[in-house]
Amino acid sequence: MAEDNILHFSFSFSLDRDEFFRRTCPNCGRDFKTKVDPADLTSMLQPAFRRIEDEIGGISLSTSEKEQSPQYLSCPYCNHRAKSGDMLTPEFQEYLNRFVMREYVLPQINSMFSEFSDGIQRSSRSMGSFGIKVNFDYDSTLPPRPISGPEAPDMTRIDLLCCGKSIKVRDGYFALSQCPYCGENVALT
Amino acid sequence: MEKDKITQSLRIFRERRDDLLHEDTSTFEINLQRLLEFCDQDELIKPLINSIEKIEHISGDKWWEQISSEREITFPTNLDEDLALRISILKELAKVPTRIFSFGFAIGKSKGNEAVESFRSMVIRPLLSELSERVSKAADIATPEERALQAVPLSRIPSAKQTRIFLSHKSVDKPIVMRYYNALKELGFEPWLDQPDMPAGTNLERGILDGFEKSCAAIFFVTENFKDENYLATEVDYAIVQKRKKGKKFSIITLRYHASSAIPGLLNTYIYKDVQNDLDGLTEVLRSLPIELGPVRWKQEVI
Repeated sequence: MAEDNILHFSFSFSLDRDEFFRRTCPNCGRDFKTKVDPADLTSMLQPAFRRIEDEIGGISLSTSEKEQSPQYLSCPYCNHRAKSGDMLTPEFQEYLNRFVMREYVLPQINSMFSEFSDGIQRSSRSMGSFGIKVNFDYDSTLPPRPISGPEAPDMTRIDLLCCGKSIKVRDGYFALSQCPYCGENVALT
Repeated sequence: MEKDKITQSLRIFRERRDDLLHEDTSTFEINLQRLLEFCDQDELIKPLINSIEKIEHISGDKWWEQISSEREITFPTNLDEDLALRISILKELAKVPTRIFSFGFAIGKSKGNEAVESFRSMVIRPLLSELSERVSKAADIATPEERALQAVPLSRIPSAKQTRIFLSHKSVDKPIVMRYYNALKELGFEPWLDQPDMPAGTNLERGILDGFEKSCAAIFFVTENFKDENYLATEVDYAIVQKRKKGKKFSIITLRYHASSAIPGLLNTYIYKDVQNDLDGLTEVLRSLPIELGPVRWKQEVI
């Protein structure tokens, strides 16, 4: 729904049964999961939208929320620290791309072609004896909306007593030495 | 089903579903075949599909015939019937892929790729969206919940040399103290008691001092027998020194068994509790200790 040049759309994605969201470390490529807090959702999605803006170019997808300071996370396996929005799985990034293409980019393109076509038709009627015929061959059919998930109820949950948050790591991984959120040195019990 | 197998099933399901929904329209037929084959073989998905297909009077073939003859696209209002029909429609389409054109004609799309794109949105996506929900629930049911591990900050993990609980008492009160000793041991704490913790020949003063150095708490059992003199007086002094040295990481816990018994002057500044019985006393001890035990787990012998 467009209003004052701002496009509103709702966006949903799949969590596992414990409401954990799968992530991939951009450094070591291994998966882990974090709880999704609605408060840091914007911070998580902003970098992803910005990446799509850069890839597609010429569009602005900034979220309507005020720009928030980025949340940082450390990988529980290699301790690589990055913005939480940069720790998304390739699958989720693909989902985001498809979502934005389906909900924003393609409707914009269709609308642009449609207006262009209307303009030419009007011009041709006002040309008097000069008739021109222009055929536009574009596909206005939108692709299906992408589906997120289902997310497997896998991995082992770890409650972080230092900051009261939780993560999930690969089963059998017991070498967590630092809290991915606050960086405190920890030991698993 | 094993957890890894379920995770793999879900991964392949997502991949094949997304290939069918989003890959180039020229690959539609092959992606449809691949998804149907997978659903027909996978241990997690197949039972779901079978339970949906149990519904009778549903015929994808008739639906396609209706599309060709009447150019009318309808679906049942009942969700399960709707899903069963959509599955049947896909299976029929996999047998005769050219039927996609009749769908295109029915909705006014003359080009094959437009027909495929519309078919994906109108017929396939609602099915796969609902199927994804059901697969997710099936995966949850198939895997047991697991207890969480705890990541404890190192600053909260004391060394083994810091967590003894010193039990200070008059010898005559040994039976009471032994009950505490046994209860604390059973709970997983490490109480310190002169008899078991000081082997024969140990210098008494040094042994007691060592016991205090390794402790995070001292419990004084004040009965009518307790007198602030000799070794008991020394233990009170040591406890005060430890408290000054260790601060919040050392507790002085005084349990008074008889209201008429005098609390040693130096302990007066610390909180003491009048107890009616051992359970009262143990509750006070557990409440006052600066350490706590770990998460609940099954005992080794019941696994």
